[in-house]
Amino acid sequence: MAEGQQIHSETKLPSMRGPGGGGAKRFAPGAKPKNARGTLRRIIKIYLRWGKTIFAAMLLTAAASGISVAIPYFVGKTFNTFHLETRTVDDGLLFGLLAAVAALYAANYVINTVSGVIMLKVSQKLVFTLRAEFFDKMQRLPLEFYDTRSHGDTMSRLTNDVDNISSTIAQATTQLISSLLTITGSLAVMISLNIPLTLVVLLCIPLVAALTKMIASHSRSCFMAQQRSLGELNGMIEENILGLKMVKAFGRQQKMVEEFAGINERLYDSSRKAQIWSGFMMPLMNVINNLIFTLTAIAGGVLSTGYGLAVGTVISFLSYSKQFAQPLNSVAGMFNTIQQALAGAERVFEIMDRQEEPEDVTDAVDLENPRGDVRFENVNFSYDPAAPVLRDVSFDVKAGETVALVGETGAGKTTVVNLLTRFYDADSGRILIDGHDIRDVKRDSLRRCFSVVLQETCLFGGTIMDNIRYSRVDATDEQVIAAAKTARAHSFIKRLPQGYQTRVSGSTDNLSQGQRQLLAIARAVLCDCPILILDEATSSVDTKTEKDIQRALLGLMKDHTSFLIAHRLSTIRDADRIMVIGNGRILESGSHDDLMAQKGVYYNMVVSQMRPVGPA
Amino acid sequence: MGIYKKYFNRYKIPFIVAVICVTCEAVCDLMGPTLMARIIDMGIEKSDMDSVLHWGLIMLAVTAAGACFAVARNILASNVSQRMGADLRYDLFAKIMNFSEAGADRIESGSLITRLTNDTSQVVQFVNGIMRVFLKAPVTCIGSIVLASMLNLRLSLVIYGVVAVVAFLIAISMKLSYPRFSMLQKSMDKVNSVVQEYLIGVRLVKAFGTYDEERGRFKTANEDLMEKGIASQIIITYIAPLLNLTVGVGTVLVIYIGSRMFGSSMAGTGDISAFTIYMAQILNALLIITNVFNTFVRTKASTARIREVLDAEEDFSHMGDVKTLKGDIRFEHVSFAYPGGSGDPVLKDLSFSVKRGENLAVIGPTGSGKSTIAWLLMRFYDVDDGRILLDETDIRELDTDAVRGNVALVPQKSMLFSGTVADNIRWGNSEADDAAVRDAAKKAQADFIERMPYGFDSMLGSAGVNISGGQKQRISIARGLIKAAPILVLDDATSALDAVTEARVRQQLAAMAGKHTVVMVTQRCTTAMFADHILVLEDGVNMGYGTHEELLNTCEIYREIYRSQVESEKEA
Repeated sequence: MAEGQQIHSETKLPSMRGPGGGGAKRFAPGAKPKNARGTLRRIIKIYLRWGKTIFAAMLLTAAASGISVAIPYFVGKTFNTFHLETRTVDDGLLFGLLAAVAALYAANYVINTVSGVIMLKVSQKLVFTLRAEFFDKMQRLPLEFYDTRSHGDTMSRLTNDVDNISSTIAQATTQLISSLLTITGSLAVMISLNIPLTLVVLLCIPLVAALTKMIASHSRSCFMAQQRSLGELNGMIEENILGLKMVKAFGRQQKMVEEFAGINERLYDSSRKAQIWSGFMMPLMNVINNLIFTLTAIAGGVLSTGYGLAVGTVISFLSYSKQFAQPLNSVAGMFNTIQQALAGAERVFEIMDRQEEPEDVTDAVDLENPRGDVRFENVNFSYDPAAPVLRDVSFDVKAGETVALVGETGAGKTTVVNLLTRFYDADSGRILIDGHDIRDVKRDSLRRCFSVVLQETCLFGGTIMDNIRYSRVDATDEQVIAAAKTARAHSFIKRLPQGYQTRVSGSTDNLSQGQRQLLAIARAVLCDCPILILDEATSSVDTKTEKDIQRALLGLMKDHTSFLIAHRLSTIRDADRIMVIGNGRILESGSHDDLMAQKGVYYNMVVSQMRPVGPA
Repeated sequence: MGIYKKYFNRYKIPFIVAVICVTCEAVCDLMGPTLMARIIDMGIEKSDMDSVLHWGLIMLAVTAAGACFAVARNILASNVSQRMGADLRYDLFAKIMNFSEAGADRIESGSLITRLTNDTSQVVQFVNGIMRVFLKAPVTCIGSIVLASMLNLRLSLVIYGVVAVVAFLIAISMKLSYPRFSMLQKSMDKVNSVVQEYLIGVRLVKAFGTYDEERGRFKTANEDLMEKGIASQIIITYIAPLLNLTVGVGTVLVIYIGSRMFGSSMAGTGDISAFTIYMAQILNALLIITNVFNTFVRTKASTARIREVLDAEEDFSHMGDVKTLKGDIRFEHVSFAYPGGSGDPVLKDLSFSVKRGENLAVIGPTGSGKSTIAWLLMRFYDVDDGRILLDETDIRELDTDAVRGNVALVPQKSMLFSGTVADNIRWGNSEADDAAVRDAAKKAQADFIERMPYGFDSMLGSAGVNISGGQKQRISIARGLIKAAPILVLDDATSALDAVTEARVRQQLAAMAGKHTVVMVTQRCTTAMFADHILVLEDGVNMGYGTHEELLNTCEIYREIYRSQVESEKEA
C-alpha cells in the first residue's frame, strides 16, 4: 500500500472478479474530486469518441445483468414442478423451464464474451489515445512546468491516473449499472412474487447502511494516520538509502535505526487498526446475509404452511435474499472507487488544461543561415515576482565572439541562457538574434540556432552513438566519431567494451560525471549551430582535458558565437569578453586583461583564488 | 520461504489460532446450505413450522459462531501480519544501514527503496491473506464437495464434473496468461523509462527541437503497451464467461437429474436447491484460489528480492582496536578495483604517506581515482593488495566505527538530511552546543544561514526550504568541521563555491593545520598549491609527490595542469 508519490507500475495479474466493493481499500480516504459533475461530463465526452462501441458494450452489460436476474426466477420456478404430495414431476413444464434456464445461461455466455472483448479493446485504445494526447500536451508545455513540478507526480498522472480513467471508471460504471439493474430487477421480481417476503429481504438495506457507516467512521481516521506514517517512513527510507555513505561516515547507523523503529511502530499501529476495522465488513455482511436468509425462511415457512404460498416461490426468494445484499455492498464500494478515479481524472485534466507555450506569431520569420549576433535590450526577468533575477540587462554580442558569464551561484547566469533559448520569455525588454526579436522568430528555426551543453548532463536510453547523434539525427557514424574526437570523448569511448555501441541510460551510472559531460559536448559539436552555449559544461572534467576541448572548440567556433558559464576562472580567462553578473545586473564587462586592470569584482575573484593562505 | 521462519516462530501461536479460526469459519459457512436444505425439506415442504424455527435458530447460531470466528481471525490476522511486516521492515532497514559499500553498490538504491516499501507490503498482504481467505477457499471448496456428497452422493457426480471443468479452465487461463503478464510488465517499464527520460531531458528536447523523435519513441512504447495490455487480458475475457456457463450447465443438470431422482424419492427439493448453492460456492472458492496463486507468484518474486537484501554482505566487522588516532596516514602499495565494476583497478600500487597535522592535496584528471582514496580512508571498501595504515596500524585491524569516528568526510556530492540546519551540522557531533554549531558554520563561510527565515532552525529537505548547491556544500563542510576528527577529508568539496568564498574556506582550513591531518581532493591547482604536499594521480598511479615548487620542476603532468589553469593560452 505504498501510495503517495510512489510510481505504481505494477501490473494486475489476471483476476476473474470485477472490482467488487469488498476490499479494505474502499474505506481508505481517497482524494475527493473538486468538480465531480464537470469531470464526469468530460470523461463522458471522451467516451463518446468511441460512442457507438461503448454504448453497445454497455447495452450488452445491461442485458447480461437482466439475464442474471432472470435466472434464479426460472430456477425457482422449476421447483414448482415438483409435486410433494404425489412425488411426481411435471415433466413438460420442467423441461420447458430447464430449456429456458439453459438458454439464458448460453445467452449470457455469448453476451458476456462479446461485451468483454469489446470493452477490453475499447478501453485499451482509450488509454492509448489518452496517453498519446497527454504526451503531446507535455511536449507543448513551457519549461516552467517542468521546473516547478516533481517528475514523480507527472509520471504518476500519465500512468496511474490515465489508467484509472479508462479501466476503473469504465469497469466500475459497468458494474454499477449491472448492480443497480440486479437490485431493481430482483426487487421487481420479488414484489411480483410476494410483498411480505420482499419486505423481509429489504430489511438488509438499513442493516448494510448502518454497518458501512459504522465501519467507515471508525476506520477513516486510522487510514489517515496510516497514510501519514507511511509518507514519513517512505521519506526516511529514501533519504537514508540515498545518503547511506554519509550515515556510515558519521556513524549514525544506530541512531537512524532507532528513529526508523519509532515511525515503523506508529505505522504498524495505525495499519493494524485500519485493517481490523475494515476487516469487520465481510464477516458482518455475512451475518446480515444469513440473518436475512433465516428470516426469509422463517417467514416463508409461515406463509407456505399457513397461507399456502408455493414452495418454489419460497426457494426463489431464498436465492434472491442471498443475491440482494451483495450488489448493495458493491454499490456502496463502487461510489468510492469512482470518486477516487474522478479525482485522478481531474489530475489528468489539470495538465491537459495548462497553458501551452505561446504559439508562433502569425508573421513569424524563419531565420535562414543565422549568423549569431545576440543583443539583450533592457531585459527584466523574474521566476517569482518577489525576487527579480535580471534587472534591466543590456548587452551586445557580435557573431563569432566568445563571451563568458561569471558570478556567484544564483546571480542569474543560467537565466541568461534560459531567456536566450526562449525556455522562458522576458518580462520586459527585448532579445534580438541577427536583429530579429526572438518572439517573432519561429520556435523551430530559433532552436536550430543553438548548440547547448547544460549544467545537468542528460543521456537517453540507447547507445552512445545514438546519444551523440541526438542533436542531428541524420549524421553519419563518421561525423559522430569526429564530433566525439573534438570533444575528447573518443578515447574513453574506445576503451569501453562495446565502444560506441555501449548502452547507456539516464539512471544507471556506468559512466562518470566527467564522461557524461564529454558526451554532451560531443552532441553539441555535432549539431554545429551558430551559437554555442556551455553552461558549466566542463565542471566535472579535469582542467587539462577542458583546455584541450576549448582549444578544439575554438577552431570550430571561429565564426560562431559562444557563451561560456563557469565557476572555474581558468575556464573562462581566454574568452573575448567576460561579463560579471551580480544582483541581476552586469557589473563589469571586458577582456581578462581589461578587468584585471580595472581591479574590480573580477580582479578580487581572481586574486582570492590565487592568494596563498596559511600560517605565513 | 526460509527467511520467514524466524517470524513464523515468533508469532506461531496467534498465527495457528487464526488459521484454526478461519477453518472453523469456513465450516460454519459450509453448513449454511445444508441447514437451508433442512429448513426446506423438513420444514417448508412438510409444512412443519416447528422445524423451520428449529433449523432456523440453529442456522442463526451457526452464523453467529461463524461471525465470532471471523472477528477473532480478523483481529489476529491484522495483528500478526502487520507486526510481521513491521519486523521485516525493521530488519531490512537495519540490515541496509549496515550494508558493506560493495553490497550497497550491487543493488541500485531506487530498487532498495521499493524492496523496503512495496515488497514488504506485498508479503504483509500475502500473510494476511493466508489467515483471511486463502485457507478458507480451499476448505470451502473441499467442504462443499464433501457436504454435497454427504447430502446426495449420486447427485454430487454432477458437481465433480463441474469442478473438474472449472479447474481445468482456470489452469489453462493461468498458464497462458502469466507469460503475457510479464511481457506487459516489461512494456510498462518501457513506457515509464521513456517518460522519465523525457522529463529529465526536457531542456535538451526543447533545445534541439527533437519533438518528432520523442513522439515516435513514446508512440512505439505506448502501442506496445496497448497490444500487451489486450493480449494479457484477452484469455481471461474469453474464459470467465465460460466458467459461468459451466456452472449454468451444472445447475440445469442437477435439477434435471434431481427431478428424475425425486420421482423415486432419492432426492428432496431442499437437496437440489442446496446443490445449486454449493455449486456457486465452489465456483467462488475456485476463483479465490486463482487469486491466491496470483498473489503467491507475486509474493515469491518479492521474497526473492527481500532475500537478496537480507543475504547481502554486511559491513566490515566492528571488532578490533578502538582508539583515538593521531592522524598519520600511510598507503603501502595499494591496489584496488571496485567490486562489481569493470574489474579494472582504480588504484595501482599506490604508496604515499601523510604525517599528523600535515595538509595533503590530491590532484589529477577525471577518473584518476582521487575520490577512491577518500572512500578507502573511511574503510568503505578493503584494498585488494597492499595496506593502508593509520597511526602505523593496518586499517583492517581497527574497529570500523572507530576508523570512521576518526575521519571526517566532506563528500563531493553534499548529502543533507531533512531536519533543521543545526540538526544537519550536528551530524558531525551530536553533543555540540549552539555556540559550536555557529562556530563551525562560520568557519565554513555559511553566513547565509543567519539570513534564512528561521536561521539555524530552518528546515531542510522535502518539508523545508530549498538551498543552492553552494549553500549545501558549505553546510556539509560545517558538518565535517564540527566533528573535529584527527583526519579531515575534503573530496572536491568546494566545487560549487565561487572563488572568493572558496578562498575564505581554504584560509580556515589552513588555520586548522598542525592539529588535524587534512586530505583535500581537488581539481583546482590554486587549491592544491598551498598544501604541504601534493599527490598527482593519473589512472590510479602516483605520478608525482612533493611540494608545489618541487612538482613544477619535476612532474610534467602537474606542470601541464598548472599551466592549463593559471597561465592563459594567449600568454603561453
